[in-house]
Amino acid sequence: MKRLRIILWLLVGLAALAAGGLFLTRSHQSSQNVQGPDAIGLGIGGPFTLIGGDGHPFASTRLNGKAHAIFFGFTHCPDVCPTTLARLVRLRRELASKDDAFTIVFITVDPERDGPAEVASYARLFNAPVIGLTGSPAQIAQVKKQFGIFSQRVPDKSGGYSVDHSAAVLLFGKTGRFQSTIAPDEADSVALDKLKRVTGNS
Amino acid sequence: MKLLVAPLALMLLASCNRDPDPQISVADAWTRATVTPSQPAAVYLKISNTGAGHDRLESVSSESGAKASVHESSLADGITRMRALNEGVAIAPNSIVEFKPNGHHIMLEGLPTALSAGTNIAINLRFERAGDVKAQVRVVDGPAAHGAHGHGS
Repeated sequence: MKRLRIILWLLVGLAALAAGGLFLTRSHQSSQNVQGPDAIGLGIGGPFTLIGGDGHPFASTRLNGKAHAIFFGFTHCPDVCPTTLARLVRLRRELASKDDAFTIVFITVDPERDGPAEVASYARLFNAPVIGLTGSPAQIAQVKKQFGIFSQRVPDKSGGYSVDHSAAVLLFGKTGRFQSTIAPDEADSVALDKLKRVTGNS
Repeated sequence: MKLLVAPLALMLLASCNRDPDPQISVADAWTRATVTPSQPAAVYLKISNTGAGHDRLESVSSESGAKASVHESSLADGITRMRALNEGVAIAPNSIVEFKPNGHHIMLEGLPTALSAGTNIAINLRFERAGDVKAQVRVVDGPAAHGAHGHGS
């Protein structure tokens, strides 16, 4: 009898494990289906210290308390980068009357050309609060790694260079948890829905 | 065979000579305001060819002395790239080629001053067949400039 009881309890335990495993697999799959990058992006972000437009260290903890959108680009980028940042400013204004629904952060992937002065003036292009950040090449490389950002210099004919880089805007909740991305070719309505979710404004 | 080829070549040459002229005009040119002259600007515009002939935008120059070049931005696999179009841009007959954000633009580098909203800058577009076409570029406020909408002249 005692042995039978042990076997039965073992079976119950196995069933519970199987059910739990099934549940985990299911929820993992559904979160992948619904949220896209969320499921694979749980490790994206994390603490960093860079250099602000004022030349002083900027710790990522200063972003806590409010949802934030982070975009990686470079100030010699006249087209895609200002288009992306201007769009974020515009969407933020569609979300709330003041420019405070979420924080917009621009991090350069070109620290060799973009010092604090460059990122500061770039952030001022939009007549709205945008935080511009740079750092040493090592700091930028580390942050790129943390955020899963690709960038590569491409020489041009006149001796200068352009930079190919990840185009997506990364969205984080107010605790700094990665939540979603906005791609440049995504409709404004889709981007707004994501921003509403991230800011808890839906 | 040779007898056949010669008249054919002549016919081709003759048809080339009779190729109709392009009719090129440039409209809705705009760029974003900048904060420092070191920052390059991207000029967006519409090139219309109402003629029946082909043409090609060969080069662009700026009266300010800034270096002007035609670029294309593209997006693939989540990566954005910007490349100079050294061969220019073909303008087909009866077509409108639109330079717009995240697509084609004219990049101005080395502007003598920062660009302030509400002002204009002059550029010259050189076409292979239509020759020089001048355009006035409106400088607009950074956040106001989003995409190709609402920038009619």
